[in-house]
Amino acid sequence: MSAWAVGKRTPRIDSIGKVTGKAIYADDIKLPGMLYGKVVRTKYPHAKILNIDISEAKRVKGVEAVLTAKDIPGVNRVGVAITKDQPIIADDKVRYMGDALAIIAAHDLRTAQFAASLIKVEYEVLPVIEDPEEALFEASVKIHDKGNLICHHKVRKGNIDAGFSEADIIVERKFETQMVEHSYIEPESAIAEPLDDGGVRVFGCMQNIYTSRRILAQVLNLPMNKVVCVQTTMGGSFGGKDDAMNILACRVALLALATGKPVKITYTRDESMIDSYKRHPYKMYYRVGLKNDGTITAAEIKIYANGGAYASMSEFVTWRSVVHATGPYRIPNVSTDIYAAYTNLNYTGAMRGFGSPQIALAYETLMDECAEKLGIHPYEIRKKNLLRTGDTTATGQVLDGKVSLNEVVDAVCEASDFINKYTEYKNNRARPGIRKRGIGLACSYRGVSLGAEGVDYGTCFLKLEEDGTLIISIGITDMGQGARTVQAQFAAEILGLTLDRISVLDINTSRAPDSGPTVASRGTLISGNAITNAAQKIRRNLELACEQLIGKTSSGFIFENNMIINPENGRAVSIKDAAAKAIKMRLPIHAEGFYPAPQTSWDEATGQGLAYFTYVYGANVAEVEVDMETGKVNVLKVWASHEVGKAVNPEGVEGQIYGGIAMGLGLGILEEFEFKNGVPQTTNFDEYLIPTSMDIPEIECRIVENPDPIGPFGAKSIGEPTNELAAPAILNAIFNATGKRISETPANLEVVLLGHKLKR
Amino acid sequence: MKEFMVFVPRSVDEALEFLDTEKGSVILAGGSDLVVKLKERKLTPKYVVDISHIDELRFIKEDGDYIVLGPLMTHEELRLSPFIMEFAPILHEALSQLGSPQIRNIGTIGGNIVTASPVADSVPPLFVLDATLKLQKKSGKRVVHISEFGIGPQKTIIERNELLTEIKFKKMGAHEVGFFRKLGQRKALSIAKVSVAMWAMVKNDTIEDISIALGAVAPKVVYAKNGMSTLKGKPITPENIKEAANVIAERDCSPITDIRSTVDYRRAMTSSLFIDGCERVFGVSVEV
Repeated sequence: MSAWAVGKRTPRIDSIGKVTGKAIYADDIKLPGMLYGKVVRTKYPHAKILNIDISEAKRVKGVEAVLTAKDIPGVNRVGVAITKDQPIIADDKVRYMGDALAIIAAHDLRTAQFAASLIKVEYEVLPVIEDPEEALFEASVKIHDKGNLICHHKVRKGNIDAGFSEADIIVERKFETQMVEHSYIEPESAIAEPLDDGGVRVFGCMQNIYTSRRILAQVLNLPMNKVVCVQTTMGGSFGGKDDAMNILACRVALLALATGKPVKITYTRDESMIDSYKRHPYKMYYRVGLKNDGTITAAEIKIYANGGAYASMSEFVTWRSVVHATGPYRIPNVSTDIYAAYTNLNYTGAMRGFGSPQIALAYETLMDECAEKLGIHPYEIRKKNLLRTGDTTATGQVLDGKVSLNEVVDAVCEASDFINKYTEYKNNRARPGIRKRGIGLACSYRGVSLGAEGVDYGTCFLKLEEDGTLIISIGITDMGQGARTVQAQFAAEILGLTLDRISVLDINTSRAPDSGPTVASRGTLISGNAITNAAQKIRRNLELACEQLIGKTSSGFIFENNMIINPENGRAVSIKDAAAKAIKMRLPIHAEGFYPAPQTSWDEATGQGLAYFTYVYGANVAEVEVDMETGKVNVLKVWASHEVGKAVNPEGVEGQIYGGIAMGLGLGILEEFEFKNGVPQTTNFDEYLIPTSMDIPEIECRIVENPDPIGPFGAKSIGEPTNELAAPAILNAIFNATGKRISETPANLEVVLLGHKLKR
Repeated sequence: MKEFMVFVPRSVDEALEFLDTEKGSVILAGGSDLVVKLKERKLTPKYVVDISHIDELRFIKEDGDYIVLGPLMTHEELRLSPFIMEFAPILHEALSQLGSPQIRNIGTIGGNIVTASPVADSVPPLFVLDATLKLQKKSGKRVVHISEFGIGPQKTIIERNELLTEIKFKKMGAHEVGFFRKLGQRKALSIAKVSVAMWAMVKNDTIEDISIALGAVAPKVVYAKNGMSTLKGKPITPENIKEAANVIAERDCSPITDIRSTVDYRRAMTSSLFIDGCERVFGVSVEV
């Protein structure tokens, strides 16, 4: 098929509104008679609630509602994965500092804040658990009645003992990663409005509005057709506006239904930091056996994931980790166990990468350590063990699609001159000098979409208008990743329309059918296939109309530039006229698109199965300069190569790569959400350090395209794989420069200089 | 619900009159620090006196051998001032590392001084430049040395009815060199883990006079007195600089462990920053 729109560098169709300030974000919305809400939170991270006295708060002039858990008409235990354990408002106990005790609606925010200060709570304070391994001790206090284990996943392949006995060397290492905040620029905000039919409409920056609606219906005890969720323009999400926004949506909806008036809550940055979920900190114990020539014979892995106060996505995040824990390598004997445990920290859930950035830090830095121990170049040890087409993964899946690992690794190594520079910098370690250069490589493979964790399909509605313009309605959302633009490109490609003729509707749960959540880097593949399916149906009817207008053709009509051309006779007609003709012929020019993803499978007992229906492959090289006196790491340049199937919008792919590396740099050397006895210490961007534009290095992209038979026009995904490689590449570069192995993140000044964090 | 009233004086006299009669006021210049404290209710004043419209407090001028600054000069205005570049390069260097363009555009030098944070980037340079501050109240004025002004974190000797109206220091001339070094975790918007400012008068490769100030290693910005006496009158040699660096780390620092760093790291880094700065301005290479 000719590439008319797919594959072209395309500016975002929503960019003008954003850069001119015209885009409407949730907090911009003001409804007549709207009240302002406030969440009253716990003073202790872990305590039984003995009594809540709201009487004084209720008497404040201007206060219209003070609600506690008792006022919730439906369920008060929600969750986005399997376990439903999180209260909208805490009832029996509080489990982390973000827990709400009451919610207030008042005429203005200050009145609500004042009323909040009058609420009296009696607590019975309980011991605080911060560490997931400690949480699983028999003697530890139970955070939930069922105990502190959220889940346990395993993978068993081959014979681990035989594998280690074949090995010439065995390398063991413990790794620890930190808690990371999503740091979306727009804090959580939602407005609920009571409807005439007894229902409620919620506007807000919910990432997955269909999940929000399901939870709202359960909490409010309303049928789903009376709950309407509308997604406003999103100021970033990175996986972070799922649970936290579902719960905020419930809080504003409860207040709106109690008062009969619209209610808005917008969290301040500090509230957002305290309330919202984070990336799981992992404690990882890796043991790898290798032969002297670098061949890996066995890997034994045990991981403890810090799930925080509630289960959230822990079951699925850790499942992705268990599938990918051995990295993109051919390992015949594998035993992996991962446990997620409750603690009294912020609960942890979905964040870009979803359980893969943590394990990539472990297996990719360990691979360099093994190479060093065996005297093999890091490039060589990877080439020896990288998965190739036809190989079997740790979960027993045969990779019958094209495996592009060698291509992406070679692309970044060539572009960066990695092989020579690594040796040069290694030889330079012993020479005098305060500033040392280093270069590091990291690569990964990643399952696309939900895999065996969920039901996977996409659906949409396309409506061609009589003037030749098109409206797309689809439940896969745009939170800044450029989904609307690629969705429009797919329709444009098939229908020959220019992008200015295409509108992608705002998402409203009552209009577009559910296509599942916009997560797991599935947006392009799932929405692209659904849109392609619908657009083909419309195209077929336009072709029937064209046969009458410009004659039949056996070589197929050409759809391009808002025109349809018969290549056999050169005659052409505008899409507008073709649409008008189709209508006269009583042929529909609207269509539903549907795409069921291929089946996946999983055996929980053995940890074997067809985990994902396809995979993507990526590699990063990072070059750094380390100040040997202060431990300061200056990231000079990052090279990134990703195999994406087909780059629908190369500009969007590059944008994802730049952003993913910036976040990866934060994970690697800057960010840490810190606690003191369960109380968050870094609740704003003065102390929680994300990279500034000054810290982000030059980034060079090499996009590799090996079209996938499953993807629309061959496209797979790019959002998350970009976020799992920069940190291990930087840590490997620091090792190359200094000879010091870092096995905890962030590699901040103290860690780089002293090799460990100082006890604070 | 009114939380506080805002008073906007148009002249120093008007401001001093108000401060003299009304208790419970806080002063707003740029607001980069104050507004955060008000939002977090760490301060709950009765009045906010917004002095940002008092034009007579916004100036930079030469006065013989001296430079005189109005406290409302923003960090960015000063950073770009040719006077500062020429006669106080140490301050220019510090302002270039302060905050971000947004903060430099709104924050003022007076605010940076009066806030009395031990990590304030403009204060160590003013210590080594021997700056004096003019404090005015309705009934009179006094001039104090910058080192006497701050007495602890967010604590100064300024009285509630006084206003900082002038900052004055001597121009740097021939034979005078200096630096400001700061260590933060990232390249912008970085709060110092440690900072060091130095000024020295050098003749015939000998340090005739020297001043060293340290930020973030004590409850307030402090002079490194032991380090200064170690180097004064000494020839510039790697050994002397190294010795002074050790003395500074061991005897002049009294750092704490907080969210930004730890005692041991801060101590080590003070010495390291000092050596790094000296290497550049003195053109020597110190083995460590």
